[in-house]
Amino acid sequence: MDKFTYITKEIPRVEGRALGLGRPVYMADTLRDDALAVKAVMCPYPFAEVESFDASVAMKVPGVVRIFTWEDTPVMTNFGWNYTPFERHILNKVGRYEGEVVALVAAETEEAAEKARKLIKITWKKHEPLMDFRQALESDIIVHGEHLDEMYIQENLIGEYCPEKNQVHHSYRNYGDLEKTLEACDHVTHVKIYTPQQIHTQLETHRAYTYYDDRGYLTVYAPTQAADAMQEDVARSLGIDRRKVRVIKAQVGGGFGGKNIFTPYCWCALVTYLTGRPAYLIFSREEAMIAIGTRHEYELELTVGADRNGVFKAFHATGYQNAGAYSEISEDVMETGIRNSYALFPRVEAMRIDQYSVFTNKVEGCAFRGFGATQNCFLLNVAARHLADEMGLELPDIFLKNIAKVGDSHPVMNGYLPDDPAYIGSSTLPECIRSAMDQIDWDSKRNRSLPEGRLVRGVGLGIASHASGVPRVDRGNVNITMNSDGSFCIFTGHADIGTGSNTVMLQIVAEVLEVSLDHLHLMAADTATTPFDPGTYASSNTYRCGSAAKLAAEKMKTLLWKCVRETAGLPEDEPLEFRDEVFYLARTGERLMDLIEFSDKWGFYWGGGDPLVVSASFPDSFAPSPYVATCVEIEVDKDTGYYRLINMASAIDCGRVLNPINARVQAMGGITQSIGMTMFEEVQYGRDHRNLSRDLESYKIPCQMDMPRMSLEFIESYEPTGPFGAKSLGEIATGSPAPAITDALFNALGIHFDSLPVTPEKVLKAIREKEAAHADS
Amino acid sequence: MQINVILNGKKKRLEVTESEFLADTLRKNGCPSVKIGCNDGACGTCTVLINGKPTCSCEYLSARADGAEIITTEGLGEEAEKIVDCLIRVGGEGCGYCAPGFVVLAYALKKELPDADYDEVKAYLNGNLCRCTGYIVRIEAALEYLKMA
Amino acid sequence: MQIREYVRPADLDEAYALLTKRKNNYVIGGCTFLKRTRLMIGTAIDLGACGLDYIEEREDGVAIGASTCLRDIETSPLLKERYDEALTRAVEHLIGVQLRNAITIGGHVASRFGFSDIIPTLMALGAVLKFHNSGEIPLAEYMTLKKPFRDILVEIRLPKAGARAVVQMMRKSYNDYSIFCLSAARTEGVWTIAAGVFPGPARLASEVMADMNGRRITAADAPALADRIAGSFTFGSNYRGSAEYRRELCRVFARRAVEELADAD
Repeated sequence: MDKFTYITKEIPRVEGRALGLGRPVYMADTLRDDALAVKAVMCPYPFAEVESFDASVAMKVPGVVRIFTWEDTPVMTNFGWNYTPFERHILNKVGRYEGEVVALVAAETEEAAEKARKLIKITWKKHEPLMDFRQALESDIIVHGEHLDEMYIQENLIGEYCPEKNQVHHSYRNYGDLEKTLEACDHVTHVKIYTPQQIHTQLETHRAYTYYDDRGYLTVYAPTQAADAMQEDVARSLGIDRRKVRVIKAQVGGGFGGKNIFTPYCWCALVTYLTGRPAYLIFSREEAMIAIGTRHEYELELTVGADRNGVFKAFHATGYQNAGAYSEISEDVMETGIRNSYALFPRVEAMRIDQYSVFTNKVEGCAFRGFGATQNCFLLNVAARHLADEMGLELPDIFLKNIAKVGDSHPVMNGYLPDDPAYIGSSTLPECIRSAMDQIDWDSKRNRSLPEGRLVRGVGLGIASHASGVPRVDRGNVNITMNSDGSFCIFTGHADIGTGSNTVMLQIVAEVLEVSLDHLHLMAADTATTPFDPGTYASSNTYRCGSAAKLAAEKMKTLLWKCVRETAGLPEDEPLEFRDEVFYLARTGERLMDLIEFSDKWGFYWGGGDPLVVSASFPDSFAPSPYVATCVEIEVDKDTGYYRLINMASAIDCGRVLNPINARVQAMGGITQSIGMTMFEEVQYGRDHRNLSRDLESYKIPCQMDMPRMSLEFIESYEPTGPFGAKSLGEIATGSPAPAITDALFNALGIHFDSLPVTPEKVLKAIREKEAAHADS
Repeated sequence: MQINVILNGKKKRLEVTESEFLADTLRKNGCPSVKIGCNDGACGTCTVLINGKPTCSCEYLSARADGAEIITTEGLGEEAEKIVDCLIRVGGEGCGYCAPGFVVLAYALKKELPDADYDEVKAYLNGNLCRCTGYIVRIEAALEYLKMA
Repeated sequence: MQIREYVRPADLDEAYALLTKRKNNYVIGGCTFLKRTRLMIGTAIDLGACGLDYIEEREDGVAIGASTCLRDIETSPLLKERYDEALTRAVEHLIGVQLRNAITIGGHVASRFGFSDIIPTLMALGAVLKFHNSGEIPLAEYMTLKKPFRDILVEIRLPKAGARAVVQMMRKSYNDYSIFCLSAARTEGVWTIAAGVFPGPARLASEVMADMNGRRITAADAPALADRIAGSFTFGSNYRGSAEYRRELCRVFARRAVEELADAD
């Protein structure tokens, strides 16, 4: 049994007390009195062009400083990374989705900006919008049709990215001989799933605050998930040198992928850039709901071939992803979703995936916790469920026969290279499945015949995989310095977006250095002072940044001990002991010095030894997968279609659990978001394609009373490539609730629900259709 | 116009407009713990005590608060520390944005239903939306607080 | 919403005089709904000093003052005991304690909201509204008027005799608005059945009620009565649910309500 002092311990988050007490640590708490209030003018139609724009009356409102339009933003850009196409300006004359920002009002007060915004007279030339992503490739409506020659397409994307026919990406993979393998299968089944747009609904809406600091740097202070990328994006979008921009991450009131998107920051930065004044833009709840981005809408089909024992032999997947009006991260979501999910079943002999991401006139699909794997895992689970039913096999057995085992390898997996194949390094998924089933009492509740009565119960099982970071691309970078007071400072570009990852970083460093968290400082996510970090996404903080922190801490420990020996006049290999932050001579037990005495003797004050500074970088090569198995018990009212979750039990393999408090909350939070996606969350449209999901009354996220009793067990594996054996936890828990709930519905009703969300009305309709079909036969 | 209130134990005269709502007024007057989540009464982030009752401050016209006693998280003193201690020991603060509203509600819960069981606590906390924690830990934190002296 | 002037009159006569002084003067209750509108209010009249915050038993019934908040209605031991916890059931899911502390029953009822569950429930309990100038009017009748009164709702009166009641609602998330609501009650044996969230405003199943109150109803009558009740309403579709689903819910809820409140066989 390993003995740890800091990691694996239930250490409350270091900023927890300040957050709970409501200390002013968020961006909105720090605004200067002279900061301009910025309000965005949004296109009210899904596809329309400004015909006339008259701000003359608006400009007369007292306090209005300036109104900005597309004429102020000549640079072609995107609100994302420099490796995805540049499809827009900061402000556009054409609105390609309802909510697209066409102008900005900057005023001395929010009231004045709001008043002026209402007085701007715009006439719109409406175009027929493209709303159905399934029709996009055949449609005459070309979302970017009128400015194709203006767009900038990176060389490596040419071929797959064809905006002239609304194609954002074509994902094609072909392994093995699909046709031959399918033909030899004993059983072939075909399924189709649909998953809706889901809105992040962070309690803190998107916002930014920009100002010129005292040295003249255009500074962006905002809740963001990726400070470095935002710096590059703001500079590119304004057409200025990147070194003139500084981004400092503020406390983030919830991200979930939705604060990767850089839009509020660019608009705010534009105002400061053109006026010289500080400016802030805080999206209202309505604006945050409609104008930023959603989880990608998907329709996917899968043909699965299996042998008579239910062992999967072949997969053939087709389908569509709705990228929305701007492509941004859509290609990433498509590819990552495939890699992160198909690795659940790596022993198939043949696999072909042939899917398209397309443009529509809906708000862009963006990063949302799960990042395509949520949707693809749902597809794979649904296929397994159908197969089990058709073949008269038990779903858990199908999973246990097919799921990845330690040592498995497949080209679809994260980090796979022909000369350096990726393989599964750690997994307790079989144990997780058994644990979830035991927690829910599967054996006594899941019988094969359909229950009778008005209120019927069922149990279901869902499993999922994901990844830890982005393989072969992203690195974690950490610097550590020793301060003159004997404490240490960790410099990292990593961004804690409200998950407690700061504390986990500190725990890792504390464990290696054997120094308490109280003597460790953390400077994070400031482009002027911290090393580069790709961003908080892909469940990478613990695995990638934590690994870098561990490496850096090990270097610092080596250096520190070397310097202590030097200070004490000891030979290089003299054994030392370090207890309660005091050094002792191992041979005799003689007390040498504590850390403050070391720093004094080393000569921080009086000149002498070199400062203790180390740097480490950790490349993410394999992005190892965490796993989850979830079982749920539900009860359905067959007369109304209403169903409730009674009990939900999950078991998770995230490698070693570094902070049990954090881990538990992360898991439960992710599960809850997916409960919402499964049961009632979806963006809905009304007459004239108007977005109806504009506030927390029309779009519901799960509330306290929606929650079932929940149990959770962590079944640790040891991931050899992760810090102290850890993998990741940020996104894995979003993958299992949807398959578990729909499987439970199948167990209770004998009806497959493969399209989300599954609402009471849908359930009742399906029940009645099944009864009618029975009556006919 | 001006309103006279007792804000976190101190008599205050606050300058407000007739159309202003209390959440904005409180944020302008030294209470950054009051946060705006939806400005629509749907999320409970802005919960404060008005004359002892937990109330959505974004839905409460400031003018109506004339003569009222208002308590925010800043004014709950030692009780806030106790609640926050229970909260962070189960990770219930999440990203922190909705946490102060929960602190006020937990305080009100103990005053109104000191013997509440799991299900009663769950029902009482329903008005605080949270996207981070999955809610269960909030019930656990509240139950721990109810147990404390 | 913009307010030019805010007044808290000392009594109802003063309040009424202010209300009738100008077309854009309004009585504000909790203000939670007005806040979302584009109304330009001249004088906002707050009844907070008029003493309308009460739930009290009187000779002729129970009276709920218009300034009483929904939370007090939810927790009132008198209302719970007298009316079979129907009002508690109708409001307890609404968002949260802190919003129910902010919403007053007067503002809610006087506005005749189509999304309301409390309104059909009050109707089923036989609620009568008392307005300052216009006098008394049954809530069920008030809901059918072309326009609401330009008046001050003073209180809501419920019968002294207790009721057995069944309140059923369908919604997706627990604190969502309802897709449909059916409230049924028997006060001294007399049936009142009200439905709401069609998605339009609540109505009584008057014709069927008249028939039911002329004879003895047992559980066996429930399916046929449910069909007739569902047939007597007009249902609409919106993004929360379709007309067909609402109609089906009405049939199911009506059947269950009749079964539960019927006389013994």
